[in-house]
Amino acid sequence: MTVAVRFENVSKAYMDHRFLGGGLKNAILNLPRMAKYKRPETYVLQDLSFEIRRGTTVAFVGRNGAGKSTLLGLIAGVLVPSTGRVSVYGKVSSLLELGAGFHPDLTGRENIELYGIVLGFRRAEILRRLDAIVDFAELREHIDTPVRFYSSGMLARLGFAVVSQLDPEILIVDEVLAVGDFSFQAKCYDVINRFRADGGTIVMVSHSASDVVRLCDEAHLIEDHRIVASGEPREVIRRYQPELVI
Amino acid sequence: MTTISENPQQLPQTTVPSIQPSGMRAQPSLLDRIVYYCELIWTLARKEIKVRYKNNLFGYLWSLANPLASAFVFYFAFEIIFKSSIPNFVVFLIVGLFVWQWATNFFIGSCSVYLANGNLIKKAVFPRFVLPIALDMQDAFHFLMSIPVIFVFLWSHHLSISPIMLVGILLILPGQFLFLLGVGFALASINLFFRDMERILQIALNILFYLSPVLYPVDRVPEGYRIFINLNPMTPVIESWRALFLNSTLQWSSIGRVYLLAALSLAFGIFIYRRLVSRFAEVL
Repeated sequence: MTVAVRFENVSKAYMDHRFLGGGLKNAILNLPRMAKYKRPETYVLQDLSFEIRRGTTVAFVGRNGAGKSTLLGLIAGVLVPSTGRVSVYGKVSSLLELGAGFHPDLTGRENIELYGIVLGFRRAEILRRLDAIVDFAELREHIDTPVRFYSSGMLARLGFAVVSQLDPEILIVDEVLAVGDFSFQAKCYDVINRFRADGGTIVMVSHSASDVVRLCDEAHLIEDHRIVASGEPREVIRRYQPELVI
Repeated sequence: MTTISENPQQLPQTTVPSIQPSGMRAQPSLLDRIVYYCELIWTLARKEIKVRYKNNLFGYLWSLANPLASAFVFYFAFEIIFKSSIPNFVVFLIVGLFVWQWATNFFIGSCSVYLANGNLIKKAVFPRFVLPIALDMQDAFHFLMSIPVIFVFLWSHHLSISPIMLVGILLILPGQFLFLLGVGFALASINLFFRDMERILQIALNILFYLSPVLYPVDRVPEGYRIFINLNPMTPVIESWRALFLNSTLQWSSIGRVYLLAALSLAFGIFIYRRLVSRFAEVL
């Protein structure tokens, strides 16, 4: 079993950004004070070490503000750890929540091209898969409509279609399965299961206990910026939500 | 394989240095990467152009409306009222205003280019430097599209249109592009951290407009102040375009200064960008 994601003693602190609130004007007016300013840091994640094996589906659960999204950001490579080491082996794609990242004035087709290329795919490859994406999203007759006219369900479908049809190696799912109607959700589960069967790695954040238990091989509970429990999803969920009956 | 690590004592100087564009498996060759960057920049620039022109002629006409309206107003104020007696004042104004418009649109736009694409930056690790480049390309395209209007005015004023202008465009356009780009990198990066940058810039550009030789030729500036006008980085840019369109000459001293400025501004812009880029996703 090879490793897809490895965290070694990773901590992430955010700099105190309060001093940025006042803007450049205040910064210059208070320059002497600014220079002496010791920047306090707030730890969002502390000393995380874990491995995600290739081909597994792993969930991170925890309360709001526990640091789950930061963790996904570190895996996606958009955030840099303050200390420690993050190693990612493979191509990462993040699912967009509700079409965030789509440009409202561009058509569905143009947005597919845009997001695909931003994710790192070559234009030729995207164009080759365009039909598959459109079909998956069930948006054949609306694909040349600007996406600002799309409903939220349509946006979610398009977002999921772009990422899933472009064959990522590591898929990051941040709480997006809750949208879409039941038939599309069923399709998403279908794709995720197929993706898993093909050996893809999924890292997800979810508040839905049933999703975690149903889809994941392993779960980690984040509490107070640390991983406090790891292992079998059912056990971890039981620790996270003791009152829940599963 | 991608690895990110950081010394706890110091901030990383560059973003996720070893992360490759995620689309390419294995180790992509340099050529592959460059082709990919070009595709990326091209797609982003085209997106902006599409949004701006809304794929129709009216979009194009709208984009000309602003400089033409200003040209008309300035013509009225300076030629009719003040009797400035600058030869071919309308053409003179239009060249200056189109050049100025490219600069000012790009500067203002680059302040918000990362904010506007925040959702992409938080989700994907594409190289962030492509966004200001794409924006600059879009504004350059816009400027290029306004050159036919300059020709129409040259023709209506019985001024000569010579093939040297094509050479001049190919020569000056990249210089201005690079000069603006360097400043744009700095503005785009700083504005993420200090969001009032844009307002300060608005004021600065407003002042700079009247201190640049857009409305008047440099030789009308009194001798004692000439040095300040010549220190203004926009002066050689405007001067070289004017010499090209009004006198059909390549003013090498100005063009040389444009490229010198380009080198300086790129060095400055890239320095600022590299200092800040790793924290873009945090402050968005």
